[in-house]
Amino acid sequence: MPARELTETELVKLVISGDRKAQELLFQKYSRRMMAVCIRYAGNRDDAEDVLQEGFITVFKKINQFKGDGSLEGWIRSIMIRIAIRKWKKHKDFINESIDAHFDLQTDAVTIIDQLNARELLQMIASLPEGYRMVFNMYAIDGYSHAEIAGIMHIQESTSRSQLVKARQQLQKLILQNENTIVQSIYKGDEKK
Amino acid sequence: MKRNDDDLFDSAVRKKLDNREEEVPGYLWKRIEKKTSDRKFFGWLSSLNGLFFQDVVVTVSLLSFLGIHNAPSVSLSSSSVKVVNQYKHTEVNTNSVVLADNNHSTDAAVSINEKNSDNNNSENNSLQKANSIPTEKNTERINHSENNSSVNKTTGNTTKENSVNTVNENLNASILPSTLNKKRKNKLLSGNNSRLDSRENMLRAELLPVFPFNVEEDPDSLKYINGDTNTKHKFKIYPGLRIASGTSFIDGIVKTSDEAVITEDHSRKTANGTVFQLLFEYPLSEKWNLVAGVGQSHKNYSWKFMTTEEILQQTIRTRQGFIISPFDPPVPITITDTSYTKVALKNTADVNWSLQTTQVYIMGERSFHNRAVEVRVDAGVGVYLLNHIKEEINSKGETGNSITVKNSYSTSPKISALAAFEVNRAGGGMFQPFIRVQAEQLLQNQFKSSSSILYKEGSLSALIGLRLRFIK
Repeated sequence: MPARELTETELVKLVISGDRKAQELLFQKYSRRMMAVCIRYAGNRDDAEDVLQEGFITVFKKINQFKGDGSLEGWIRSIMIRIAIRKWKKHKDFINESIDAHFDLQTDAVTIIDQLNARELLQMIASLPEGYRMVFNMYAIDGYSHAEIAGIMHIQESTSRSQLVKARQQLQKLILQNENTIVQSIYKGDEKK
Repeated sequence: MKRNDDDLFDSAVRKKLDNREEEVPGYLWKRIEKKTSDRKFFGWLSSLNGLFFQDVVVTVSLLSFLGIHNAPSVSLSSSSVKVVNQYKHTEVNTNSVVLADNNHSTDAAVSINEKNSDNNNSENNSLQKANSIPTEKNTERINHSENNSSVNKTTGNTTKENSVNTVNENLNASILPSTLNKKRKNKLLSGNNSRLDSRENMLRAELLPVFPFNVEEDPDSLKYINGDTNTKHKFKIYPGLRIASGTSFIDGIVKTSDEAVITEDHSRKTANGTVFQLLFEYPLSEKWNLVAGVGQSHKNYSWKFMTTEEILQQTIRTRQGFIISPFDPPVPITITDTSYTKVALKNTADVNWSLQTTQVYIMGERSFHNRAVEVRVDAGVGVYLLNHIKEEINSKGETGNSITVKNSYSTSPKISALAAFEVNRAGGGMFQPFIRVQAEQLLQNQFKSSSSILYKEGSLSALIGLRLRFIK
């Protein structure tokens, strides 16, 4: 019989039945992308591996709850995010901050992002305070609403908003600093010449 | 405009990072594969969540309190801790709570009758002395328990699997099936009380493990020199064990990798001797810790070591009934705190209750609704605080009124932490945490202010030992 790739539905069925090979297949298919998600939330590779591991264990355990309404990848991603949040919440508390402070958007940052490579940007996100990072990832990248974030993280919507504002501001600052460093190094290079 | 800029920025970041892939190390799949094949193990382990972190400590507190009055004889060897005495057992009755001391059948059992809790006077909530005549059930449990406790508790060589089996047998036979009155259980569970549901879940004996608990005291350090201000107790602590907390009358705890020194300050001793307890945490894995404890009374220097198994057994008892007062004061005690004497001594004319350690702390003023109240207090606080709170509730507990519980040790958060208590009010069938303070947080916060109501579910240091329920 000619080998053919399993459809998502077939794969899910096999995984539900406990087929170890199918589980591995599922892992191979999504683990790299999920690892990127985990790193984004965990901020470092070690913690990300823990999240990924626990995430896939949960996926295998709960895959019978996958209804097929959305994409399997989206469903797995949401599990990873929830686990990352849960892990983080175990040892961290939110500092409630007022949203009063209003920050001007550094519009330059948007332009500069294009010039950054993904890894640099990822590093900057990883360097954000954890609370900021979680909210920023969920809202800006993974598309959660503040209400959803509040629900998942057990925080007020206003807290989510304020964390997002702060996260953006800090990230923009980092991006601009990075830009300045690059510019300065270029100038220094010119002087040497 | 601002919003558009924000969206633009988010979108730029998203574009850069979305659908990104990262290398995944090969060992991760191996790990997952192994873990998923061990799901059974992890199943029971994870279901212990909460139990350890609340109730094991509870029991430690409770048992160390026992140690004041009736310290069990404990023999120490270089490699093990052998418990040769028998812990007290509790019997739960629909209407009353009876403590049966199985060690001393001639001793009194204390019955706390809750029938009259609707009366606005705690006098009616009598504390009755009654002869403890072991029932058939009781005797059966005693036998089982004696078997358990006469076993040398050397756990170092015990495999987890064997230990689990041992506990299963012991608990199934001795504790779990009979002690919770069915009618009572149904009644309690029908009250929309989610905590009861979770408690019920934790009654599953098959989930109980036994883990190594290796602590021994250096015999030389047991010398008690009369007139000394301080006595030091050294503990050898086996690798992996660390002190989780020490409370009450312990002035200093030196933490090192393998030794703990406790200095007992005799200048602060009371007529009843000192009581302290040490909690040890045994890290089972990066996620799970197990707490075990040691309690002591300087009066006779009998240390009570508890294996995890014993702690868990006690925990199960604790969970089964609404009781659990080990309050059996055999020693005449001088009452030093006169402000609450009246409350404490009601209906206990022939008993001198210990008051000098009945610490309560300021929890601020909160409103009560005088309908159904569940009070949980630390065992070390005992009936006194219970009655005090009850009277407060009965006399002032109308909606809009407040109850203030005073702290007799305001300068010592450590001691005050022992008095942690919880009051829930039931309104419309829903239990809501009303006041809940836990020792860990108290220690950290040092009574920041009377308005600080600290609440943290599942805290490690929840010191809740005695719980009674009275419903108007």
